[in-house]
Parts: sequence; structure tokens; C-alpha cells
Amino acid sequence: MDGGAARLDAHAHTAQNRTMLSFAFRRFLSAIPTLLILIALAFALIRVAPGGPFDTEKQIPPEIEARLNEAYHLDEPLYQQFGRYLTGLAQGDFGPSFQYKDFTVTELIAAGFPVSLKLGGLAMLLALLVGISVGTLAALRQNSRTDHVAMAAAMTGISIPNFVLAPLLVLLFAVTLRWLPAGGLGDGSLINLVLPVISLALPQIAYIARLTRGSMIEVLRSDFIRTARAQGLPGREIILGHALKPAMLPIVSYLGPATAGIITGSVVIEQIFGVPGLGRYFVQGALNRDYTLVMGVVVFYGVLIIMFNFLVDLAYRWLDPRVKL
Amino acid sequence: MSVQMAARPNDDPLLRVEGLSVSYPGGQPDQQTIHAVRNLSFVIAAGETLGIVGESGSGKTQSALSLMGLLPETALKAGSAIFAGRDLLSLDDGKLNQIRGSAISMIFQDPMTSLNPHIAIGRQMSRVLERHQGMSRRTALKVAAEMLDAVRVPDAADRLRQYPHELSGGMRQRIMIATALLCKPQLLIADEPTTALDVTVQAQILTLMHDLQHELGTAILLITHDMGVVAGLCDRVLVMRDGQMRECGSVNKVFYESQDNYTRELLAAVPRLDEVQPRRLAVVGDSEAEATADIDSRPVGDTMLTVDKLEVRFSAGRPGPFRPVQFLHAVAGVSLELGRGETLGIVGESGCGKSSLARGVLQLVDVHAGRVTLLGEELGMLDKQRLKQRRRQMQIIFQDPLASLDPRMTIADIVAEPLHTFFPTMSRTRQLVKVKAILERMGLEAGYMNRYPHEFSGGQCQRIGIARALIAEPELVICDEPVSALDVSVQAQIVNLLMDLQQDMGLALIFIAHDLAVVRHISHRVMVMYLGRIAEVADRDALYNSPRHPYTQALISAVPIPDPRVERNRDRTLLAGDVPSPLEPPSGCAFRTRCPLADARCAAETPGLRTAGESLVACHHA
Repeated sequence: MDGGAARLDAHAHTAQNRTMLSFAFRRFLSAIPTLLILIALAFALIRVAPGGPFDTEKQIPPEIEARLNEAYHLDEPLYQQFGRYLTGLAQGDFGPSFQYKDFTVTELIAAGFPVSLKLGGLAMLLALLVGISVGTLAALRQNSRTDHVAMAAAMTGISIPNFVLAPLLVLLFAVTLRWLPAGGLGDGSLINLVLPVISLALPQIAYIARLTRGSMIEVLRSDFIRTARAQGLPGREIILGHALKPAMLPIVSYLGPATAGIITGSVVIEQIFGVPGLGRYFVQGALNRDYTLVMGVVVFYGVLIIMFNFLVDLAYRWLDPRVKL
Repeated sequence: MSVQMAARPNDDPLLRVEGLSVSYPGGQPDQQTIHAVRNLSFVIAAGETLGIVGESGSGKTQSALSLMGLLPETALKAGSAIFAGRDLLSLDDGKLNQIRGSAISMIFQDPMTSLNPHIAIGRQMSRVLERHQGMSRRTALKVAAEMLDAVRVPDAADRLRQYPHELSGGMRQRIMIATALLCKPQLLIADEPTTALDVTVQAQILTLMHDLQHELGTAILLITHDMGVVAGLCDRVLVMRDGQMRECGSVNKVFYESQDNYTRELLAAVPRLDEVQPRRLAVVGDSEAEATADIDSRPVGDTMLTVDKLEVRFSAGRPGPFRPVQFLHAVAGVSLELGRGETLGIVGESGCGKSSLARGVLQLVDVHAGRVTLLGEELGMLDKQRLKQRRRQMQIIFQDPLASLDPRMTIADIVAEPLHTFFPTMSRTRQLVKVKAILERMGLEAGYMNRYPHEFSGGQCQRIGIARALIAEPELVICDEPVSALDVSVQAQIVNLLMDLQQDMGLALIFIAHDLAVVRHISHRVMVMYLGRIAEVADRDALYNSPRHPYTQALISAVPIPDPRVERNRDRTLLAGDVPSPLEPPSGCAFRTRCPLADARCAAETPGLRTAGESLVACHHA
């Protein structure tokens, strides 16, 4: 009987590993068409935009323009260019930048991404820490003054777009109070990131706090919390040991959209604060019709978001063992 | 621990509750205060079992929750509950936390939701020991495993790593009990501990509680609506109604010499499995004897429904590139016949396919194989339009009375809906006349017609559901657990109503239930299902008096009988384990994994239905 159970257990274990592998594989397969559609859309959109990469205020002689177009294969039919791009991409080559002529797109991404990652990662961390704490507190004191104030603040946070919020913060903390620098990375110390991180995190804090409050209130009403109370566990242990994990499910599903939100947010925030991150390259690339740079950033972020959503699904499975991958 | 050690004179009861009241003041001035419990007093001696019985809304659960300090914050409590020299009602949460889970524990009705689905079982159990006895997690897990052993959970150590959803309902309730007993409490409060379980599992759990009580000497406060459970397990009984105590005394006194009208009526309203003479169920609050409409006055006519080797299957899980679609065979080849005016009862534990069979017969789900012939027409061959017309002749009544009525439609609209479908030319006035007539036939006032479902009680909602099913004058009505969600007294009214209607309209009924006593009461013939197959079919009395299939025998012996002397002297065939997963049914005879008679042949050969005595049985040994 015992041996049988152990075998059964081992069997269940390998079965679990197998479903995990097959899940990862399925996700990998389904990511390919998603990416292809993304690339095609981005390719089409940037080509539809009027103007080209070599339009400048001064007219370039036509023969030079023709030579340029030839050098960058812009004279080929679009489908050929698309095919060429995909072939390069499959080999990990994002192509040369049209604007920063001495750099490849890969080099630009490698330069900008660490800055953006630091900014976005810190913003996400802050959003989770503060959002979950505030939301839990509001849930525990449901309908009290704390709750009402926290939720009103959250509502405001959601309503104000960060391109409005950021200049206001700069005005207050940098210009009037002179506590914090107004922009740039300065000597690279963290103090320069305080305002950008806060501007980026605030709307997410607000949203996560509201989500946490709602799901926590629901979890606290469930039968198994009543059981925990009947077992004489103190409130702290009930929250941390029993309620937090199930209450985190909606937050985890929100992490995917939140990442996307922080990425698009950082495009604006980096511009406002003059942070030399990927977002700034993206905006400038779009303005200059730097086709390869824009495409490169889009593909890079696309892959990033798909990977992140995969991680989110794994976290979901860990939080709720009933979920089938 | 200090709480348990507190000095207590030996003649004092373990718990003395005096003048307990629970009320909920209305939030607005015009809202009335709800008195959930009024002036309740009782004692529990060490090691005894006190049952609190009553129908829903009687205040039995509210009383228990108030002892544990688990009432919502809006509740007002009064009175006292002295346990080990302290008044439970006036302790703050901190002091209460030293007692609950340790000296007093509680288990709840639904083991599916009462365990945390997100946390491994071992962790849920060890927390209790770490908190109350200061154990390290390692030691706590060891003690938890020993306790799981004690409640007969097989492979206890492995279970600790599992999550609740990986276990059956019966296993989960064992784990609830084990967790509650970890700190060797002096009092265990059990709130409807077996209500959500199948009868065979209920019998296992009740036996377990009985044995544990003898081993540990724990006093039990058992809250239940089931008189049979009380008759088997309790020393004393307290009957409640509308928040008040009606009667309290020893089990024998309450069952045989009750001084209270309500108690007597309640007992009379319970259909009994061992009752030889069918009778009309007594209705609480209506002591006049009505004309008996028993089974014999409902003659059976010629066959109107034939089901031939019906199979219903569902795909389970999604297919992957390396995973074929797995099928759950909910109904695996069931054949039956039904005559006009006949009632066929279908019983079986959850997952046996009885509801899928009903849906298959009505063509509400895709039928994988087999034929259903109603009044000479094969339903599977009809096109959509013809099938829709045939639906007038076959209707269904659902289990959850409120959930099966659209909350945004008035009663008149709900009941008239089949008329819209089947008689689209009928005028609104004519429809309303019919609705009014049928509501009156159901014992509902015509004035209810413009109200909405949530304004009605469960029993009234079920009458509305029946009115909707019958208004288009069907010939076949399938009742899928129509009384399972209702209180005993309401159940009696609905069962009586169905039997009367059958007699008046010559209906053929398929009555699906897990309550064998109710099925015995209403059915001409009874079919027992197990894992999608027929185990046994026979005329009602033959099946109950001389069951042939070992599963039928076990089912019948598992049903508690509301009669202490009978109940305590019965020989029980306790079935071990749970129903196997229908995704991976055992080879050969599906029942062999739990069957006391199983041998090699049962694993190799699937038994077909054959005649044995007065039954058709699918068993090699019957």
C-alpha cells in the first residue's frame, strides 16, 4: 500500500513536470504567430506614416537619396523588405539604425534598456509594495475613514494621466522645494530616479490598491477564513498565512497589463525627465522614421511582454494549485 | 493550555449556556430587528453528545457561531456561555483565540470551501499546533500525520503535501475533523458535518465521530437538520424553531414521548426508509389528516418513454498536441422504460450520472449513442423544429428553486414562458388565466403574479418551478433533486403535491434524488446508478426489502433512520473509500473497488443486467 502510494506520488510528480514542459512548449508555439502579427502591424504602420528616414529640411540630391535607399534596401518592394527584415530577425539581427548611423539597433537597445529596466522595475516594485499594503489596510478597515481616504486617493491616482502628474511633481519637488533633481540621470545615483519612478508608479499603485481591497474583502468573507478564525489563529496570521495568497490572484493577472502600462508610461516619462532609456530612443526613432529602430524596440518589448505573461501564468499556478496549465 | 487546566468542580457541566440571544438590529429606522436566537439555555456535560435540530432559520447555526465568537460584527449577543469558568460571550478575540481551536474546535458543513484551497493540507494543520502548543513546524507536521492516521486517512504523510482539491469530499471532512482534534479539545462543535456528503460517506464520517468520541472523550455539539443523524449519534436533543428552544431531553424521550407539537410534526414529516406502509407525509402546522394519495391509487399505464443504451459523455480538459481528448462517460449505456402515470426513482451518489441521464433523455445535452423514444417518436432523429415542439411533452424541475427562476422576470412571465414557446398564438389574457389557474393549483395566491422570485421562500419558488413545468401540460416530467434544497416540512408538502398532480394529470415522472427515503416514498420503481451504469432496477418494495446488488444494500444500510432504537441496533455494511473518478473507471464491474464480494471475475468482466429475484441486477454475485 505504502509503496503503491509512493509510486503514485512519483508518477504524479513526473506528470506534473511533463505538463509544465508541455505548457512552456505550447506557449512558445503560440508566441510565434503573436509576434509575427505584431511585427507585420508595426511594419505596416510605420511605412504608412508620411515621410522617410532621410527626409531633412534641406533637399538631398536625388542621386544621393537613391544611393541611400539602395544601401538600406529601401528601393526593394515592401514584401521583400519585410522578408529581409524577418530573415535578419530570425538570426538575432535587428539591422542598422537609420539615424544613429554608427550604431546597430541591437547596440542602441543594449544601451537604453538597462536604464529603462531600472526605472520600470523600481516603479513596479514600488507599485506592488505600496498598492498591496494600502489595499489590504483598506479592506481590513472596510468603510472606515482610512478606507474612504485611501480609495479616494486611488481614484484620483487612476484619473490623472502621468504626463500631467510628472510636470506637477517636478514643479513641486524640483522647482519650488528644490529637494530633488528635475531631470537627467546626473551622476547616476538613485536620487535622480525618484521623481520618474514615482510618476510611473502612482497610477499603478492606485489601481493595485483598489484591486487588492476588492479581492481581500471577498477572500475575508470565505468559509476557510471562518475556519482559520475558529482555529484561534490571530488576525495577522490569518491575513498573511491564509488570505494573502488567494487575494493576490487578481493582482497577478493584472501584472501583465501593468507591465505594458509601465512600458508605455516610461516612453512618456523618459521623455519628460530626459532619462536616456529605451523609451526615448523609441520616441525619437518614430519621429525620425528610423524604421529599424522603431521595429527593434517594438519586437523587443513584444517578446518581453510575452515572456512576462508566461511568468505570470506560472505564478498564478503557484498561488492557486487548482489552476491547470 | 492553561485554559484546559483551569480548576473545574467535577459536577459542573462542561458548557453552561444561559439566556443566549442573538439579534441583528435593522440598519435603517424602518427595518426591524431580527431575532436569530432568543433566550436559549442548555448545558453540555463532558464527553456527551448534544444534538441541536431545527429547520433553516431556526437559529441553530447562529447559536454555535456565537459560542465561537464567529458572528458578524453587526450581531448583538446577550446571555452567558460559561466554559471552564469563563464566559465565552464576553471574551475579546485575544482571549478567545486561546480557547478556540484548542479547548473548543468547530467543523463546518461544506468541506469543499472550509479548507483553504491555496495552502497545502499539512501547513493548514501545523499552523494550529504551532499556535496553540508552541511546536516547531517539523514536530507539528509529525503530529498532524498521526492525527490523519487516527481519522483513517490512508497514506497520511503524503496527504500533508496535497491540496484540498486533490481529495474527495469525504477525505476533506476527515481532514477537517483531524484538524479540529489536533489539540485534543474538550468540546467539538459540528455544524451539519455530513450534509454536503453522500450517504455512504456520511455513514463513514458518523461512525468515525462516534469512535473518536469514545477514544478521546470529547463532548460534541452536533447541529443538524437530519433526525436520522440525531437518532444515531446523540445522547440528548434540543429542538429549535424560530430562534427558540421547543424541547430538550434525552434522545429516547424526544423521539418517543415528545411533549411538543412541533417536534412531533417534524418527526412525522420525515419520510422513513424502513416504512412499509406508504402514507401521505404529515405537513407541519397542519395536523388534520388529509385523504391519502398513496402509490396504489396511481395506476401505471402503457409505456410512453423508452431509453435504449443511452450514452452521454463530456470531453474533459482540452486536447494538446501530445494529449488526446479524454472523455468522461457520465452515462455509459442505460436503458429504461416508463409507463404513463408511473414514477421511476433514480438514486445514486454524486457523480453517478443521474442528472446527465435526465439531460440526455430530454436532449438537453448531446447524446453520444443510444436512442430515446417518447410516445413513439425517436427524439434523436427529429429536426430542431420538431424537437422543440416535442419539448412541450417533456419538462424538467430543477434542484435549486431560486437559481432556476430568472430573477428579473415576474412570476406571471416565468410561468407563462412555455405558453409563449408552444402556443405562440395564445392571447395574453388567455395565458394569464391559465397562469392564475395553475398557480392556484400549486397552492399559491394569484396575487403573487406580479412579484419577483426573490420575494418567495424556497418551497414557494419550487412550486413556481413546478407550475412552469406543468403549464403546457407535459406528459413526462423529470424532477432533478427537486426537494434536496428544502427543509423537511417543505419537502413533505412538495412531495405530496407532486403525487397529487401525478394522479390528476396522469404524469410520468422520473424522480432523481440522493435521499433514498424520499424516493421510496414517491416511486413505483427505483433504479440505482453507479458510475454511469445501472446497478439495479426493481419495484419499489422489492428493492428496499430485498436489495440484490451489494451497492444497493450498502446504500440502504447507510441511510440513517430517525428512530433511535432501530438506528442503534442496525447492522451496517460500511463501504470503504469513495466513488472512483469517472475519468478512470475501474475495469470490469465499476463497483468492485468498494465491493465486499469482489473477486477476479469482477475485474475482468463487466456484469450485464440480469434477473435476480424481483430485480434486474448488474452483479456477478447477486
